[in-house]
Amino acid sequence: MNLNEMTVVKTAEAVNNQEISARYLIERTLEQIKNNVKLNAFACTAGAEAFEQADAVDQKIKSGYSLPLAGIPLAVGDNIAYKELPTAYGSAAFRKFKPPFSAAAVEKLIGAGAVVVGKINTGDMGFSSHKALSPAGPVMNPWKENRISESPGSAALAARQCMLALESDSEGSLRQGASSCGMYGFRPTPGRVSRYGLNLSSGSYDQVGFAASTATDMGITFQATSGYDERDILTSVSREAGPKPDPNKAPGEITLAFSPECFDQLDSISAKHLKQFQAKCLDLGFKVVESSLKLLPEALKAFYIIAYAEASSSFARFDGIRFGTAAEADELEDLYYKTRKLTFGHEARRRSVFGTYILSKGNFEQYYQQALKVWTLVRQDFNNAMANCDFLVMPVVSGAAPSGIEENDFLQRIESDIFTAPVSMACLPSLALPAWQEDGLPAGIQLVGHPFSDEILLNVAEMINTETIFPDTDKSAWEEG
Amino acid sequence: MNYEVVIGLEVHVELHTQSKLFCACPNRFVPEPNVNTCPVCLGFPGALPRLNSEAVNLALSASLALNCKVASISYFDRKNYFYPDMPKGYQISQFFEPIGSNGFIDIEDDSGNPKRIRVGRVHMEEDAGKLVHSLAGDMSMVDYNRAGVPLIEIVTEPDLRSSGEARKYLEKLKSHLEYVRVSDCKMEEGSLRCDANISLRPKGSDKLGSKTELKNMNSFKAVEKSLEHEIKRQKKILDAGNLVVTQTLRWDDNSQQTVAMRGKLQAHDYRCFTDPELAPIVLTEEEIEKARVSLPEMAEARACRFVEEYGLPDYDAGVLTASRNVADYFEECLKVYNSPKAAGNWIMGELTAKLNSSGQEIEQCPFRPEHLAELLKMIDENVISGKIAKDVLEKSFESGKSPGQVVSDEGLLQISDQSELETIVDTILENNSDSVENYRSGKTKAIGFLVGQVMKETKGKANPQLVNELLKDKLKK
Ligand SMILES: [Zn+2]
Repeated sequence: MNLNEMTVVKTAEAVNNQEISARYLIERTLEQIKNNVKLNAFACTAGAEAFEQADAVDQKIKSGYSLPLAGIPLAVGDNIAYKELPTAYGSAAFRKFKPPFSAAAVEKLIGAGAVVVGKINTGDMGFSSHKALSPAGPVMNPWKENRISESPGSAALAARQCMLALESDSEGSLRQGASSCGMYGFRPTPGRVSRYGLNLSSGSYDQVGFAASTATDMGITFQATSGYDERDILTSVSREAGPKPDPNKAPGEITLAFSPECFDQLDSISAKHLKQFQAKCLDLGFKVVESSLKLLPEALKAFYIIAYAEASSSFARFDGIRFGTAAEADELEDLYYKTRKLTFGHEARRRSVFGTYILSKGNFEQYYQQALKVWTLVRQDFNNAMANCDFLVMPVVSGAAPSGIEENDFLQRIESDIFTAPVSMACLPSLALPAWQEDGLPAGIQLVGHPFSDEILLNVAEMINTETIFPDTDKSAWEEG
Repeated sequence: MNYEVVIGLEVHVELHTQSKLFCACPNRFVPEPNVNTCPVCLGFPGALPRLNSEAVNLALSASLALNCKVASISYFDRKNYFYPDMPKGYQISQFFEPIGSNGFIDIEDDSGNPKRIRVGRVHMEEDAGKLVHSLAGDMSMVDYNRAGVPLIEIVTEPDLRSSGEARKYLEKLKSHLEYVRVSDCKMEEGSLRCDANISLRPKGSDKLGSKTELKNMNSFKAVEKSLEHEIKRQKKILDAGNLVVTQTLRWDDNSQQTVAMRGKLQAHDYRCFTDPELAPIVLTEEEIEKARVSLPEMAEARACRFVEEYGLPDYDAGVLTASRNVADYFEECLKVYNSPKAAGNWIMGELTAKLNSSGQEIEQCPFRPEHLAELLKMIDENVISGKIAKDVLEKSFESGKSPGQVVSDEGLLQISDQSELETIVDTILENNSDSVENYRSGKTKAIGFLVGQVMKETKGKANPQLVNELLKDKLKK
């Protein structure tokens, strides 16, 4: 059996049928991580506890159980709590920190049979590697030398160092990374999946999401993790499941909208590909219409004002008094300065400083309150745009995977969020799916749905059915199987 | 010069809930540090706050009891500042939209005229932990047991004009909050904390003078004293033609004076904004109305009713209604016993004395209202004497036995048997011929001595009225 390009669905089936063992899958995965350490996707990898988990899964199956994610090697973002492994938040001060609890989504995935193979190397405080560096440096893109991945989980997935990744998405790093690695990246409707255990920088925008290699895999992952969790009040909207997809619905009954303003924001090559994708949708039989999104540039600015403000406050808890590494200091104020310097990288510091400025007397009205008003308008803008369609089809980024991070062009990096951050603001579910390749690098589009249409969205993604391609690697631990 | 005193009070009250404001940790005092803590109230990354609806209900009741307008939608905001006792680096409070606003409390001013004190706002917030310093002074430790305990802050407009008014306001406030069972309001134990803003201005001026803030007062008495002290201090400064420096002062109970707080003088910018991790509190018209109608009868109304319904003197009615638990006890007793005056006297007298000496609260003491009723009935029916009744109360209070049980166990039944008493009376008369002579020669006071002798002989159990009659009868002969 060649497991090289196996999906979650097929692999779990093989484990449930006892054709392969969960233990074997974990062994192969850990070897595959070792085979390509220069990818730098993992902050730490699992040891004995992963094998214990795998054996427990095998045992359960032997005693007659069937698990939807049986033995699936799972990578977990380093800003998401997992009590068995250090959760470092991309910070030097938390290298050995084990949180006293695991995130709700981690618990659910493990409960469904998945096995955590390691914590993925998110940037400073969990921000995108595109904007922020962890002490371990950037996560590389397995498709091309000197290119990075905004989502370490997608990089690990494309390099077959896991079959599923649990990550956070705020301004869109998960979707962007999935796009630049040729994978699927899903940001569910806020409240569908519990955020308990995710280190929130922005309570307004941060969500947990997943990277997987097919839409079907995403579907079962979402099913295994969504639902009400009393520890996250936002999930009270999920007491009832979202509307179920109608399996008999033909593409002709589904309307996809493309926005002319998105084309305007794209470089010519990406615009050309998006046009071709639009034609493909017509070929597949979907109804295709135009919908205007008027406020993307304004949304982006407002997004960052609010995200910075919230980060400056959320990060105040990192004071070295209850957790993490505290710096040596004689005075309280000195303790704060030194500990926070040790804890935060450039991006977290930038957000703390800008956010503090934004919330300060005088600036609060001018920036923060204005941004809140823009937020309301952005939601209206999306509402209007979606009034005549079932889904919006939007670019993820203009161009292909970015090259390595340079500290001084952060404004430019913010601009690359123009398609993803506004969608986060509008509180809509969004799936990045592979759409084309250019110059050896993949790129995706986002399928944006109405609130709570998550299941239908994943179902439509299956109908679009783009093929997932993995990059070639020198050596694969999977082929030996 | 003649000055007008302007005082505003900020009172923090701990809400009497089962659990903390945003987590399931118990809201209860324990001496061991950091026992009542969890990832939420310790501010761990990834732990999310979850609003305790019991706290909202209590804050709603408190707002209504203080005659506030209740906001149909109010928010939780983050007040950002660093301090080790503040786990998240911000306090969750209601800055922009408090749950209650524009309320009032009616008091009497220093000359006994009615006066309305405006309550500007009532808002919910979480408490901070506590810093503990080592004896050697080389270490500071933090106890987060209290972090996240629900509080309401009640802020008056600057309507108070004297330390006496401030004290009366606090007493009224405490009574209101106790009546709605929001808090036990024990200042000594920190469940009620009070800060005062105070300034002086020339009489007739409507411009406020520069104010000082007083902290660290741990009793109503301390509030009154520190305000008096501060009024004198500011007057002296102003009389000398100087300006009062705006600062925060600490009341020092030992030296009985206000002391400037150490630490840097800095204007805080708390950078408040609405907490994105918490949903707003939404209260429907029906919910507010439901809470309003379920408010208990408050102290003043109850005292008036006690006067009308039970014919109690104003003073008694005031004392019996000062605490809701005492008033409840009283009325509970009256359900099975119908002499309000006697019941009131026993509660205000013997029972209160017993409660004070044993340090117990009326609602927890083993001597229940039905016990008091039983005791009073026994007196009325001449089963025991009033004097014996005091012993019975004492014993019943100690043992939890009913008064009837105590009387039969201890053989305290009153002797009302005429022939039995006659024998005793005869013996006493025989043995005290001097007194008998005295009485017969007109010194009628001597009968008191003889009654006393009979009571002594019977260990207080003789029916005093019957003894009196018997004695008088026999002495006439
Ligand atoms: Zn707690």
